[in-house]
Amino acid sequence: MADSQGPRTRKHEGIRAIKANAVPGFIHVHSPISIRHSREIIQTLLERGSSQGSENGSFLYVYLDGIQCFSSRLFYYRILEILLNQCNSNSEHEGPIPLEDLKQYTFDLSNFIRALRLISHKCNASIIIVIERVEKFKESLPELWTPLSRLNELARIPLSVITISRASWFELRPLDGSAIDPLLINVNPYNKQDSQTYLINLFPSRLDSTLSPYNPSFKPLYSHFIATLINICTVFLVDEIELGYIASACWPIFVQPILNQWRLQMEQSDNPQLTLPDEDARIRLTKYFSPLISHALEMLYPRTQHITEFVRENKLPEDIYLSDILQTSSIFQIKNKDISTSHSRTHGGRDVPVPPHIQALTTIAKYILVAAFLASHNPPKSDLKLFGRSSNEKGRRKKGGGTVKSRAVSRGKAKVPQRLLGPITFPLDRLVAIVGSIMEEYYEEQKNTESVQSDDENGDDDVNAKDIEMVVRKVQVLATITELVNQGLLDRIASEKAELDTMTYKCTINQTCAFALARELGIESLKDYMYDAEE
Amino acid sequence: MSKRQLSTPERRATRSSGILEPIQQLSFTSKKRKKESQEIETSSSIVTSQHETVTPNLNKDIPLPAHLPNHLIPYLQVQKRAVIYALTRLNFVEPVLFSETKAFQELKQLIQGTIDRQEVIRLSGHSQTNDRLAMREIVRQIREQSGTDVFIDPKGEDSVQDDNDTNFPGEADLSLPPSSRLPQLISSLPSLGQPVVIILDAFDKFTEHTRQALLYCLLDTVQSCRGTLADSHPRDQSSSDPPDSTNKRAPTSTRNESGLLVVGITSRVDCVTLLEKRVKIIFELFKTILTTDPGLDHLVSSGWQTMWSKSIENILISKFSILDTGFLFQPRSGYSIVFSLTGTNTLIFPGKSVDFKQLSCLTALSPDSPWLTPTLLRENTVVQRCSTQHLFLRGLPYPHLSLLIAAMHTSVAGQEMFTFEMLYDKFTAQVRLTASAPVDSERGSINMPFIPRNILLGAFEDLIDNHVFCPAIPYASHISKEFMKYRSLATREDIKTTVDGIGQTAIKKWFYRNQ
Repeated sequence: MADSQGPRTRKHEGIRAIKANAVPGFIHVHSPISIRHSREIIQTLLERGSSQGSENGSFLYVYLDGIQCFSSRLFYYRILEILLNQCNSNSEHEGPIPLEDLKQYTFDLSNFIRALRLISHKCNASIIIVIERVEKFKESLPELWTPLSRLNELARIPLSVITISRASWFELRPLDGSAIDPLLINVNPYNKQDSQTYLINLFPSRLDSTLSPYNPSFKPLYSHFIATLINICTVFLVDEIELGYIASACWPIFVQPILNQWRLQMEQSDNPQLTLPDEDARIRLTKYFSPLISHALEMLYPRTQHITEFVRENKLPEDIYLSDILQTSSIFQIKNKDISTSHSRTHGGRDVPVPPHIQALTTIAKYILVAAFLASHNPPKSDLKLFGRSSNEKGRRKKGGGTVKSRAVSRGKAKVPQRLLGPITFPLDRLVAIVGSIMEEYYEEQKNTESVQSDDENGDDDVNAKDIEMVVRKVQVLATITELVNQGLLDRIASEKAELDTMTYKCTINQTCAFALARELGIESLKDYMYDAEE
Repeated sequence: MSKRQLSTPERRATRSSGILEPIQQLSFTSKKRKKESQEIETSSSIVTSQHETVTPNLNKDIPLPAHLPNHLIPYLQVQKRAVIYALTRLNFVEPVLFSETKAFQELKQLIQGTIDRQEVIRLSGHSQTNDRLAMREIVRQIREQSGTDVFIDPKGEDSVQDDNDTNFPGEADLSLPPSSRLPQLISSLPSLGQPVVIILDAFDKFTEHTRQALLYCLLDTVQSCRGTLADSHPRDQSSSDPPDSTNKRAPTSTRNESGLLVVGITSRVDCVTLLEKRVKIIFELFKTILTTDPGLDHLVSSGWQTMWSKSIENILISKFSILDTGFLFQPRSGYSIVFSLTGTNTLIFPGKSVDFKQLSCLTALSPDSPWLTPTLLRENTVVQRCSTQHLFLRGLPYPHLSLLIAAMHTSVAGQEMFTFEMLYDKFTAQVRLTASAPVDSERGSINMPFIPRNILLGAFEDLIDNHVFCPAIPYASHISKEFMKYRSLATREDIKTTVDGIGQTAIKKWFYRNQ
């Protein structure tokens, strides 16, 4: 049945066998890695089956996503609607239920089953209901689980329910044991060889133009390219659809030097000798482009960048030819873009710039953010030690309280640092106090060194502790906090009704950002202010 | 002589194509399939006769080709289809989760043979989850079958209005009767003019209804009812119907009432204990136990048949045990019957050790590996039956595995719940550790490759999707995804097998490192 699908792989043998034969009442397809591929195969088989069966109307099918159906009525309605439409188009006469009356059949399960029976009898066809992401049902429609698995026997018509999910049946089955166990089909992920074959087969076979990256004469080169790509990526990624996505981004860039060369040749002579690079050139080419592939993996798999954007950014100039490539060793030498170092970047690194939307904030807002970050990551009890000053000794922190290390050791269980557990909430008072404390120490310095505008905050040049307190107590600070909340940089935890004083917040910026911001404000070592900083 | 030899396979061929018909109804492309299978059968007679002349003495020396010859490929398809078809019919053999379909059918046949004319009302505990739904279903089924509209009066329509339960315009005929009318509805059942049979599928679910009102009313009506089913049929009511084996029946007789039979079907043995006392008292009067007898279809296709049964024999001889799945594989006659699908229509299932899903390994058969092998059977059993949850972990790539190991180490360190940041921290620490000793052994680098944060986060989300990591606290809008707390469901054993299988020194070292 699936012979026209190219080389068969063992991966979906189970699915194909089932589909090609009589269908059991309830099947669960567990496809942990590439659910999209399984879905495609099932859909193709269903479509082909239904188009072949259209002469005698052998079966009707519904393909649903569990996300669409968050209520049982929606679920019933959707199924019946699709079935009726198919029924109408297949049999060329009216379905058993007019579409306008459909609503009353979505009333409850018995009505729904009655409708199914009517449709099946009218069209003389079996019904197949395929539900993808069925794990959503476990949360949204738990009462439907058992009937769903038993739909076949409740309706007493040839009907089968096929569920596709990334979660295994053992996770999904109802706890009371009332559901019938399905026939399980586990879809194993492709191995290297399989994905390679799959991806190579995706190469289109028709010729658009000579200078298209998908010129059929490129196919051997494409195979090598895919092999390289898979070697680089399979350590991190086995989903063949994702691999295809990355390949589609990199391939046009990969062949561009050759295409450029060809174009040049075509312009120079009427009958150019268009040849593929030889073995040696090919190896150099692959070596040259392999950083690009890992860069693509990093950008495209988490969807940090869109594919068109990626291609635009990494495209080689028109005047780069194959010969140029062969002399250099890496793509990033030409483009002068050291992306490979991004691997060694850890958060808290020195050279990370502040994101633009944070960069645009006022100075006082930046102070508030840094303070909020500290408040969110330090336990309240440590404030006195970290920020406290004795009254006469300016600039000296209070001693005592023990070191962080000794305290950590004295506890039995190792405590997880706050930066790993996420920000904690803090009241407004605490934030204001910390803002004051930091500003007192650094705001003045910054004023002196920069002596730039920020006139809107404070016109005076010399700022002493009192002034700082004035600044901090200004209504403007509160307004700025509200603004930061609106921008999503702070999170307000208490309900809307709460008084302004009792409001609690949380800081949402991460450590990298906070450190960068602190550096910009002249706070050289923010670590000193952190209770358990990263070593 | 040759004529005679040919005649047997021909007869078989016609037989088998006749049997295959119900299968084709279920298959996707019935018309085409049918033609195809007929072609197969006609060609089969020739093929078979060749086979029989070559190897006259059955199974003993039949070689089982590793790759199926082309002419036999259709047979494999037919065989698979036949077995899978049998599977679709065999649902009810599942020992624990007894599906009631078969019982339903048998019962219906029985009743139809006994009583001339009756109303059969089927209710299922799975779909009629409360009394009002059940009442509505009763009303509707009665109306569909007899056309009488006894139960809904204008008064009832009025009372529907104040029901908070889903009411929609244009659904007057489907409206829910109020629960207060339940006794009235049920007690009017015997006066319908013909016997009424009420079949309660998933009987145990009806015991979950409020106060078990429906059951009580039904049984009460049965008890007080003076009508009889036997009026319409000489066969009696009070002594047990031998072929019937349902939970209870209770017909009695009177003037113009025509009788009521209530049949409950359930797979729960302890169902009686679920009944309330007042219901139980009436219920205890009648009880018998049901056992169903599954039937099997036949598949005969001679040349294939001999090879197939030979391969089955090979399995039966091998006597392997599936210890890792927790039960012993004991070849018995039941198996051979199931696999060959010939000869008899009774199955002997040796207790819990067999269920129909083991047969589904057939779907994995292909021309490249056409025969059932013990290994295949074992693998399949593991897949279908074994509760080791995370088999698919074996195929997972490096980032997923790293996260699993990190999660395991976290839980060893006493932190059952973890955030992404914690795992990421553990992972980077480990990468730094391996990088600090840049030793290249002959078998390759022992360094662990670094994974960019975003990719690791993607893998983390994958594992959540796969329900390997499950949220330990409810989702809240103010917790960002890195700090959401999760718990890992993968056991140490799961990860261990995966790590051992993958054969990467660095990962292995990390896994076995003592925390």
